[in-house]
Amino acid sequence: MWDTLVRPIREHLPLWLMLLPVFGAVLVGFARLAGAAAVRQAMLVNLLMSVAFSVWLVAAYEPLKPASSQEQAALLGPLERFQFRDSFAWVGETRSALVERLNRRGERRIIEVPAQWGPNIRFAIGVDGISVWFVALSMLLVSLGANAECGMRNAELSAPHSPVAWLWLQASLVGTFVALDVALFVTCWMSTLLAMAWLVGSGGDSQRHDVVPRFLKVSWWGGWLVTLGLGGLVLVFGWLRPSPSPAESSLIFSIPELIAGIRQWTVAGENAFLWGSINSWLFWLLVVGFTWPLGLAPLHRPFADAFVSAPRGVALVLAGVLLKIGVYGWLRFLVPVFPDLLRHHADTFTTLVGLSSLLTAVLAFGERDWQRRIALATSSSVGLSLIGMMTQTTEGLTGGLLRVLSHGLTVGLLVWLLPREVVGSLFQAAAADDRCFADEFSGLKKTPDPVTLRRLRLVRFALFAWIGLPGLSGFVAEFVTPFGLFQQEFNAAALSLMTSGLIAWMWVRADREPLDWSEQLWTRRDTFVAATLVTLNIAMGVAPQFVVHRLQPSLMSLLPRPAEPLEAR
Amino acid sequence: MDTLRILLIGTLVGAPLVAYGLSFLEGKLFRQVLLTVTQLAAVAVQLSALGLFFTPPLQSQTFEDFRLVTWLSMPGFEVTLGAQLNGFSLVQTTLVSVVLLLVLSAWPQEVSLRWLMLAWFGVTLVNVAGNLGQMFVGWTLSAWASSELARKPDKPLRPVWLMQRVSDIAMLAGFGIVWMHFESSLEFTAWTPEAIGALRPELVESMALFVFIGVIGRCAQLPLTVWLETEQGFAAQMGNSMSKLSDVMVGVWNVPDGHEVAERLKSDRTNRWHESNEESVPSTVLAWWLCAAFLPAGIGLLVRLEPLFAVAPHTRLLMVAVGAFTLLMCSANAAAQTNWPHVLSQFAVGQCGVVLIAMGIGNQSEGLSGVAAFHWQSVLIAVLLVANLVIRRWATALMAVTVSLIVAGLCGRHAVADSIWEHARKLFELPIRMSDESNGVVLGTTETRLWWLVLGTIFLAEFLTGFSLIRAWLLGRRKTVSRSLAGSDRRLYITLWITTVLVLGGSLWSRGEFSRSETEFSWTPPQLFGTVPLLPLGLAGAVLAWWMYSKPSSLPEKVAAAMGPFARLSRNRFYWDDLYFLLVVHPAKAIGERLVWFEERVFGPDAVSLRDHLASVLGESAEPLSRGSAMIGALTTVGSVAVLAWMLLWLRS
Repeated sequence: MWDTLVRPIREHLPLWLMLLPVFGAVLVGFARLAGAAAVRQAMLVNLLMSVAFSVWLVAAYEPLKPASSQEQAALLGPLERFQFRDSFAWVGETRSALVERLNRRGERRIIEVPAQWGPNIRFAIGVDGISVWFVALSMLLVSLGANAECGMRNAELSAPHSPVAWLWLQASLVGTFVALDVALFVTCWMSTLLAMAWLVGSGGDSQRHDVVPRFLKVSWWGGWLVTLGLGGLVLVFGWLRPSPSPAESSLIFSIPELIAGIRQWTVAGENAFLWGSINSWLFWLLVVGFTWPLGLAPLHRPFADAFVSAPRGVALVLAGVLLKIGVYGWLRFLVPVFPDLLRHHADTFTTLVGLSSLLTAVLAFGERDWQRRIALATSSSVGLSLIGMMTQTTEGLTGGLLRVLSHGLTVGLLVWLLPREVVGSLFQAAAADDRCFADEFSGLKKTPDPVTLRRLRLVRFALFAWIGLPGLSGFVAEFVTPFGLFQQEFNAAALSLMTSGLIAWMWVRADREPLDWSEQLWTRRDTFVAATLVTLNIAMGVAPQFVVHRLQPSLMSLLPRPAEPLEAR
Repeated sequence: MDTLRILLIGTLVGAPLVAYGLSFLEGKLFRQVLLTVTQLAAVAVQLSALGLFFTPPLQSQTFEDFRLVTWLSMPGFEVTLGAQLNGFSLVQTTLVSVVLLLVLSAWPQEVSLRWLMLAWFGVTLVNVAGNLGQMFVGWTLSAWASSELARKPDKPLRPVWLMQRVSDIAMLAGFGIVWMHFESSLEFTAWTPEAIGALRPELVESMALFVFIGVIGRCAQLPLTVWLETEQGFAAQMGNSMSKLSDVMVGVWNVPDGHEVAERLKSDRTNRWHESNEESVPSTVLAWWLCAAFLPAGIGLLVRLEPLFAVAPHTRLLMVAVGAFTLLMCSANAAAQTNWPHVLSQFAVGQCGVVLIAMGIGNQSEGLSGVAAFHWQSVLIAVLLVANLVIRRWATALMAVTVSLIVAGLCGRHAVADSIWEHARKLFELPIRMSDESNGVVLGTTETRLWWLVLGTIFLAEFLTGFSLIRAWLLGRRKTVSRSLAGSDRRLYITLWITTVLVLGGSLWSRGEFSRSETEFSWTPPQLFGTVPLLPLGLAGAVLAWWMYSKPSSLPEKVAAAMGPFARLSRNRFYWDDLYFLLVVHPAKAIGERLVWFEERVFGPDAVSLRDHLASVLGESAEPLSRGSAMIGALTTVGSVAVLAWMLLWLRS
């Protein structure tokens, strides 16, 4: 039973997570014939299975699993960081062919002949301790978002293609995070942007025609720069590394081998000088490419507009996970490949990003609209995560990644709970005579009804988690990151703490404003979603070690090894 | 014996957590059952502490260290939750549980127990913390829960959050610097004098300063007395106002109707009278917890980090200044109150100031004596507040408790006064030796003059304390309580008496306890000058209050009127709200709004149209080129190819 049914799934969980949306699309196609209810059911089945598989993936990932072979251990370290790997030839292939030949004596011999065509780009996937959390977060938020947009019982689907777009988004997101091939990573990332643009464009508000092109343009530019940078990395590595065997392609697209190889053959090897003269070009391409789409000030506008314009479920995924692909790119490529350059520019970067975070926090402070506040505070939070990672310290990296996860859970809850239309004019009226929002429940009622009170408490819970109160997910990141920052740069630490304080202040002020849920019912789905996100928030705050334990070996492998100190290079 | 001791420690730390878990059953269990179980948990903590006092310690070091759970672990960074016990932490934990027992005996029906239990757990984590990580977790947890206690569920979040976050952020910054310079260790055991001595003085000062800001926020000292929101003053009219912790703990500031000052203040638009704001005032029962358990947590932190403060003279001088100013302000505020709980809460915050002075003097034994006195007083404050609610008519009991409070406080305050006198009298030792000059903490001979000011403040505060406590009690007697003592009240009455006697005895015992180790309470022979004036001054204040009450005289009103300007100033928080609003809130709001406006202009639709316009202008300008000769096209192409070729060659080279 285990070997027949469970093991084939368990050992290829990332592949299954990518295939599920494809099966889902087929299922939805058939379900369309049976009507909207069947489409909903099909989507629900797909989403539930995806979430279940991602939970299984997290549980099955072994952070301290020893490397499976000596070669792997020599190249990638003693631990098997990337697990559940699958690899299929995609564009071009390098392999050995067995050819029957006659030797001089006329005997038949089978000879192994290297055969190669194309660039050997593979459909290679797998997860490490970092990507496993991104995958889990993506699955959770996509499920919630798709459920919100495609699962409405009384309303028609927001757009005729919405389920397919959601499945596309799901597959692309998973692909981005599990890709172990440069080309696959870039393809999935760009595909994610297209799917998101489709969802915002088809279901957004009246501004979507203006917003979507701008969002897509910024993200697309970032994607192209990253493509150039990663392509350059592959090319340069192909030139610089020792001559490969005939059976081996000259260009390496595999991300683990590329990173390990650069460390081994260029950074610390005889090609260090050549690498040193080229790497800054690639570094800056990747820095700009990965940072541009993050929505940091002063380039936050396209993201903020897209967030405000997007439907609730789409906004949830956009802020919760899609915006952070750039952060993932930093972790996956910039931190391990360019440690010395990063260290060299760390002070400048951390200060600039710190200022950017502070600026978006100030902008959020001046905002009157809840949705824009969330968007700007999200930009600020992403900046704070990035600062942590730029420090190249265990605490900074861990804190940054924990903040990404915590923010995903928190913003998910907040976006889910807030009224779909937050009435600005109501706030203006309330602010004029200094009434607090507690008196404004459901219009003019003095005493809130139980459902409104429940919603208020949950909104407040989300704010608590965002502010970073103990026992909740945000606290761990708030607590750990400064310890990394203090090692690196006091300016950044001060800016980070100021930003956190300002965001807390902003939420306290926002809490006074009226929220009107008078036209929204509380359904069982709301209960389920709120309970899930609240539980995860508390679990991460109370027992962060569960997350950190899986993260640590992978994060540690990003840092310069003790045997190769930076000064020695 | 070992098993028993470990069991006792487990109970000490685990009981609050169990009680917090049980509080989720509120509404499902009978309230009385839940209250009884919670009280039993508090009693279990007290018995555990008692057992730990009388069983031999497992470890012979100054601290007994037990790590229970690893909360977060990374290479070079570990936060464990556990217990690091010594005499001080046991006393603190015990007293908090005594306070809790009293608080629970009169817990109001409408207030949820959940936050109280969470606050108890947080305070316990702080009191028994063995590392900075656990201390920070407990610190923020108790701050969050206690500030939620002071807020009605249907009211919005208040700026108490901000003050707490200021406190937390400052604390975190301090801890971060400490961690970096103590070999990446968050453990208190790393705080050896050698390790601290190896640091640069300015670094030590900055660590101490950050941590001190955190303590100021927790103990509601100036200038972070601005805790909770009210609706007063110019800033309030703009929707941004705050008031002191003590106000919110007990209600609004209160002067009898018809009072000249009151009338004047009422007519002042910039200082809106807000007796109508009673609705938003939290229950006074919460004040017991805040006064008697929450504030001492900040003081406890000072004691834990004493090795750091010992080598940070500038920060200690700042501690003295902050403590003295807060003491003066709170004593004056208390004297202008007619409401018993108001007086006590002002008194509690003021006594935190005394402890700051004590710790700032730099003499550890006097500092710890001040802290010990403060802790015992905290329990007495809880007793008084309960007594006020339940047995207001029992004048003898209240009088006894009041006298106990004054006497118990004297035990600590006289030690502080003595120590200050030690510094202050150097002014008369002429000529001043160079060694004395250089041995001065910071300011040399100037400092001795400052000590005189501090001593004067303490004397004045003592007079005002005696006056305000007795006056408030006498005025409180006018408000008759209609109900007679029920059976349960009688039991409570007996409990109060027993607690009062025990606390008084404990206070005297801790004062008389000889020094056993550096962190135990100690005894120093009293100095005549420092001690003698305190008791007469306190009694003079009490007599004056009694005389003002017994003789129908206009003197109280005249005194109150004479204090009008000061009351006005302090009531308006030294215009702190307005300053805060003008310097911080308004600029932040204005900058935020301007930036949003700017953003709309620069990145918004206008910018898009401007950009399109520029692009079209540029395009039209370039049109001749695009239409132009083949030469331009050829040159462009050749140039591009040349650049690409050069790049390739350069890369190859």
